[in-house]
Amino acid sequence: MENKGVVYFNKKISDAIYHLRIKVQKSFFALPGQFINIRVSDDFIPLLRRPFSIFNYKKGFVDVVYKVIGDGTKKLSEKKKGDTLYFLGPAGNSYIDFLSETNISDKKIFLVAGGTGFVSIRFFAKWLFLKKINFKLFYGATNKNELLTSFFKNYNAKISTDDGSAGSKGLITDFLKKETDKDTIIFACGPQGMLKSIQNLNAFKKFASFEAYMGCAIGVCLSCVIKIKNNDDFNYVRVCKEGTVFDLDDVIF
Amino acid sequence: MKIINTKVKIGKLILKNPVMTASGTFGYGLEFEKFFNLNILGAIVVKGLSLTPVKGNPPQRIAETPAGMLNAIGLQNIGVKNFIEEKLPLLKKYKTPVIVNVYGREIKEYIEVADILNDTDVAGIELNISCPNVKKGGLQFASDKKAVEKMIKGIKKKFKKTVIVKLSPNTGNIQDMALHCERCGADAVSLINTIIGMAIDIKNRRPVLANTFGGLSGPAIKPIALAFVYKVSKKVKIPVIGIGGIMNYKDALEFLIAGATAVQIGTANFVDPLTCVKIVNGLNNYLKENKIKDINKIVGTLKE
Repeated sequence: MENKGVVYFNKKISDAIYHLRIKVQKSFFALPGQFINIRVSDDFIPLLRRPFSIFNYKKGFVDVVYKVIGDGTKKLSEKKKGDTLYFLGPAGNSYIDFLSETNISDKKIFLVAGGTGFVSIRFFAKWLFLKKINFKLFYGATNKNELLTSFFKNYNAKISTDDGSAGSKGLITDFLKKETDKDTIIFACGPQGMLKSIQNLNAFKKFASFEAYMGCAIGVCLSCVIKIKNNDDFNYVRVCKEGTVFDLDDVIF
Repeated sequence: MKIINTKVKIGKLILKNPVMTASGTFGYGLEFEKFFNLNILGAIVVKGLSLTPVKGNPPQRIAETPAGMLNAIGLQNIGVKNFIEEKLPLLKKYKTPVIVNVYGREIKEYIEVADILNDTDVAGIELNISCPNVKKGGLQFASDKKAVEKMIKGIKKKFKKTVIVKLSPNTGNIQDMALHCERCGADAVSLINTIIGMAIDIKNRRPVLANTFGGLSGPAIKPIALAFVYKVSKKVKIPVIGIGGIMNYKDALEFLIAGATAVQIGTANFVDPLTCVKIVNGLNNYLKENKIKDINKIVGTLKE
C-alpha cells in the first residue's frame, strides 16, 4: 500500500546532504538495505517518484539521508515540517537476508560505505550493534564535505577521503584489501567503481546494495536492472525487487 | 436513478468499464495485487510477450523528461510459455479479462504466439507493431501494410478471440494504417504507442539511454495522443482505445469525448499505483453527477 507521513524535520547537515525524518504509523517496520519511494512533487515535474535508502526507523518515524543532485532531490529538500509526504515501501531485500544464510560464527564481518552509500550501511551497523554481532566499518568519501563522521562516532570506523582532507588519504578499498581474507564477509554500498573493486577481493562472501534508475520501484517497469550471471549466460535482474542487495559473485559489471 | 452503464464493447469483449492498463506498465498484473482488487479494472493488458524469453536492452533504460519519461526497456519478458505456466493461473481468480500484448521479430512469430494463446484463458491479444526500442520487429511493421495484412489475417485464422492492433505515431500515416487494420479484420486499434525521443548528458556528451533512443510517455504526450485518437476514430468504425499520458479521470474523459471507446493507463501506474482505481471511481462519479446513464453516450461526442 501507499504510505502517508508527515515531515518531522528536513535539515541540511552538510553542503548538499539532508536528513529527513518522516512521522509514520507506529507499525512501520524496515530492514537495512531497504528503500522507500517518495512522491516529491504534487504535479508532473518531476513525474516519477524518487527512491531513497532507509537510514533508520524508530517507533513511528522513518529517516532518510539524501544528497541533493537533481530536480527531484531539490524538491524534497524544500519540504517543511508538517508537510505531507506519500511514499511506497519499504521495498527490496535486506543485508540481513544474506547474513542468516551464512554461518558467521567463525567469520569477520566488514561493512564498507562509499559516499552516500553510508546511509544503508549505518542502518545495518546499528542493527548489528543491537544484535551484539561484531563487525568492522570502513567509510570513504571524495572529500571532507562529503563525509558525515558524526553518524559513525561510536563505531570506531576506518575513514578515508580521496584527497586526504579527512581520515587517511586514498580509496577506502585500498585500506579494506589489507585486512580481508578468506574468513571475511563484506557488506558494501557505494559507487559502482568501489563495488567492482570489492568484487575482486579475497573474501569468504561479498554482498552489496545497488543503486539504479527506477521507474516504478514495484517491479513492473524493468528499468532498474543489473546484469546477473546465469550459468554461462546472464539475465537482467531488478534492483527494486530481487535487490537492492546482491551477492557480488553473481554480478557482472 | 437507474444503474449507470459503464460497460463498453471491444471486439468480442465486454469490459465492465473502459479502464485498461497499458502494456509494459502493469507487469503481469500480479505486482498490483497488493495495491487493489484487480476486478476493478476493465481489462488487464500484460507486458509484451514473445515466443521465447527476451533479455532486453542494457541499462540505463529510462530517463525522466519534463512531464514525461523515455524508456528503452527492449521488451524484456519471460516468453509466452512461461507466462501461461507461471503467471496466467494466478490471474484466474479475477474476472477481469486478460489481454496479452504480443511482440515478434518476424510475422510467423506473432502468429505462433497467438496460436499458443488461443487455447488459454486469455481474452484477447494486442499486437505490438510499434515498439520503438527493438531493432527487429516492432517498428519495422508499423508502416508496412503488406506485412500487417499478412500478420492480422494469419492471426485471425488461428486466434478466435479479440485482436487489437497497437499503432505508432512514429512512422507512416496512422489514420491510413488504422483503416488498413480494420479492413484486414482487426477488432480494435489502440493508440498511441510511445513517441521516439532522446536525452543527452551534457557532461559527457553521450545519450542518457544506452539504446540512444527511447519511447516518450507521460503527460507530455497527451495532446499528441488525443489528436491522433480523434483523427483515427473519425476514420474507422472499429473501437479505438486511447493511450497517452492519461493521469486522471478528466484526461480519460477527454479521450472518450475525442472518440475512444476505452482507455489505457500507462506511465501513471508508476507515479501512483492506484491511478486506475481512481480513474474508474472518477468516471463513475462524473456520470452520476451529470446524470449520464451510459458511458457510451460520451464516446465521440466532441462538438465542432
